[in-house]
Amino acid sequence: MIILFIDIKKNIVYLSKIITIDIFRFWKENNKIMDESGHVDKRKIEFLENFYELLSKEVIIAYRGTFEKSVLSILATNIESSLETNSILRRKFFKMFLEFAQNIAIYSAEQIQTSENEKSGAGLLIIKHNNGNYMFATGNLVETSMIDYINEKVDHINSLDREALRIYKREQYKLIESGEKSNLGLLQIALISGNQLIVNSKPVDDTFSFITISAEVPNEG
Amino acid sequence: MENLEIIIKAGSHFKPSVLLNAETGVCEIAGESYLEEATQFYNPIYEWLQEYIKTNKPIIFNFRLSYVNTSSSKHVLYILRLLKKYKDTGASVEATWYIEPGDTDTEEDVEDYMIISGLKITVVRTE
Repeated sequence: MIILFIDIKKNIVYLSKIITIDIFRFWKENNKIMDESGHVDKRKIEFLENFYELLSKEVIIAYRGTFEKSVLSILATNIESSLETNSILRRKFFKMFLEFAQNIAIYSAEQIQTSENEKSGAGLLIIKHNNGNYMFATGNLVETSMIDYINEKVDHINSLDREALRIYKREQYKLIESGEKSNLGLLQIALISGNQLIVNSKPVDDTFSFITISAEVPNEG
Repeated sequence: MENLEIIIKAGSHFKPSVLLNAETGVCEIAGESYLEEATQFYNPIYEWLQEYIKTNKPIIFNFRLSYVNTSSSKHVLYILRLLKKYKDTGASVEATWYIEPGDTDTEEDVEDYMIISGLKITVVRTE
């Protein structure tokens, strides 16, 4: 399922057919837009329209699904065209987006066979306005046994100032050169955003937790 | 030896364009490098360079990369280390990285590449 809301300057909400159907089904089931004889409650439709409008003002992109290349390409192009602001901020957006997307593609416990015969992690990515700045947030499933490790990694990154982060990054580069795993993704997000990472998690069953990672990009354009 | 040319259509977010000129020694990698299979993409470039440095001719390497993902950065470092090794033999090696003004993230990346590889990279801010 692809959910794609694109907006920023023109207040246009772009909805794929699938999500429109999905949201309507959800509302039909939960709010009874239609009564049993199929009569549509106009007030509820109006409410739904207002909800879309609100969403269009706040949300730049909301996407749930896999993060294989074909999807990344559509999202990246939309990010580029939906930002009229300066190109440096656009570049920051693009980098933040790719780092977050890679993070989900690799680390989400919900690995899905994509149409390209590859596996990609699935998750949720939201980019929204936040008090004049931009908030990037992702959510995906991970094994609960990984949570402590991720929290430790994030706490370490958050404890470092920019210079220390860069020294840490150079150490990570050396690790990847020798073919070892690195912590570069989250580290890059901290460096590009210039902000702390915010992590939250909640167990969903005995094995998995839903983890959200977010960071704010200041609007310095 | 022959030139190596990889042409990527404009607007691609994932593969950079490459032009390595065996005659003039002017080499360029330009664009964004978001590659999961980076080894497959960068290996021919590395092999070309290994062949080229056998000629002992000067080399001018221009980077116009504005995004390098983790798996690509490993290969950028391999290239820089090879150029450094070549320079240490007394060869003429000039590495330049072209950066959009204000793109401090890339500027820091280049600084890190320099520190790790030991190769001097001239940073040019494009207009």
